[in-house]
Amino acid sequence: MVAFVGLLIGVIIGIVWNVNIPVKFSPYISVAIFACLDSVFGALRGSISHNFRADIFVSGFFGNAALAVAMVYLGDKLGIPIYLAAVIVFGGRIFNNFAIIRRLLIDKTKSH
Amino acid sequence: MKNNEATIFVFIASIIVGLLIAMNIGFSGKNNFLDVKQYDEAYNERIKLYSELNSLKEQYYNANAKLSKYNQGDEKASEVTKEIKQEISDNNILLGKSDVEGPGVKITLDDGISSFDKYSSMDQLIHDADIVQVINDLRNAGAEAISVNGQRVVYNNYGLCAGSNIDLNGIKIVTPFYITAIGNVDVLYNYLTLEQTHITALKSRDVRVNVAKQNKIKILSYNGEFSYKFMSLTNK
Repeated sequence: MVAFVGLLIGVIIGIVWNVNIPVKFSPYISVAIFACLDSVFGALRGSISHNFRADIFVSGFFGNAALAVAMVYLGDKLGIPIYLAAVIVFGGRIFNNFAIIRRLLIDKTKSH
Repeated sequence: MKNNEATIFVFIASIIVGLLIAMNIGFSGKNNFLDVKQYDEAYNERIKLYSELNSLKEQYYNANAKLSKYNQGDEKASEVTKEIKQEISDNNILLGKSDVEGPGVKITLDDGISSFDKYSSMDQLIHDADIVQVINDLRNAGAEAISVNGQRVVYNNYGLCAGSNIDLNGIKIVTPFYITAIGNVDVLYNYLTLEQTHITALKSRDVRVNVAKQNKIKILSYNGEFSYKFMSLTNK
């Protein structure tokens, strides 16, 4: 719930500011968004299962994004789409985390 | 407390993600992304432009090198003269004022042996227009130098029927006609054996035609004069 509200606020701020990232950086930001989204899902899962750690979350949030951007850059230079690796890993993890969140939430509602 | 902390972090992180998404998508309506086909086209376009750029750079470099050679003054005067001489010789080769040799084809055209039918005998003769058309075919196939019976064919040549012989650029030539051309042997030969060429038409008229590939052909220079009376250089 918190995540959706945050997303909504972020999107609204982005629209109000109306800052456009140069087209050149567009693919980098896309992969970075994916990495950040993965971290957010991880944090949600952690908060639900009560083992959330702020330091791990913050380092993962920025570290994953930076690594993903670096991969896109390297792939661009080498001519092979390495960013696919990032997309597949993060995509898989997002689904994985979502599945665990789902299970935890359903268990929680059932136990009540 | 711990849960609260997580909520705050997630909230901040989602704001950042939302911000990034909004910035990247750009709701102003323009689409920054290409589908596969567009990407392919754009990619090819880029390669083309790059290669164009490279060739232009090369041209620029060559022109610059030439210019700097000219600019280096008196001590390099002989160099400049050499360069100019080289250019003159190149131009002479292209104009047909130099003897040249190289690989090419040799076409032999001869009037057909007259048969019993009188009407077909006109077809069996080789006319001025035939020679001109064969020359045209050769030029089309990329021949660099052409000669007919030893007469170099240059840009202002004409062919004229003069009864029993053909007046080619003022010089009378008779059958058999030997047309030699320098160029890419395979291209010339294959082009001449195509359906649409005049050689094929001549063959069907029972004219005696022979096309032979040759590794080394020597073609003599044009010994006439190039002159003009009416044209002059336009002011740029």
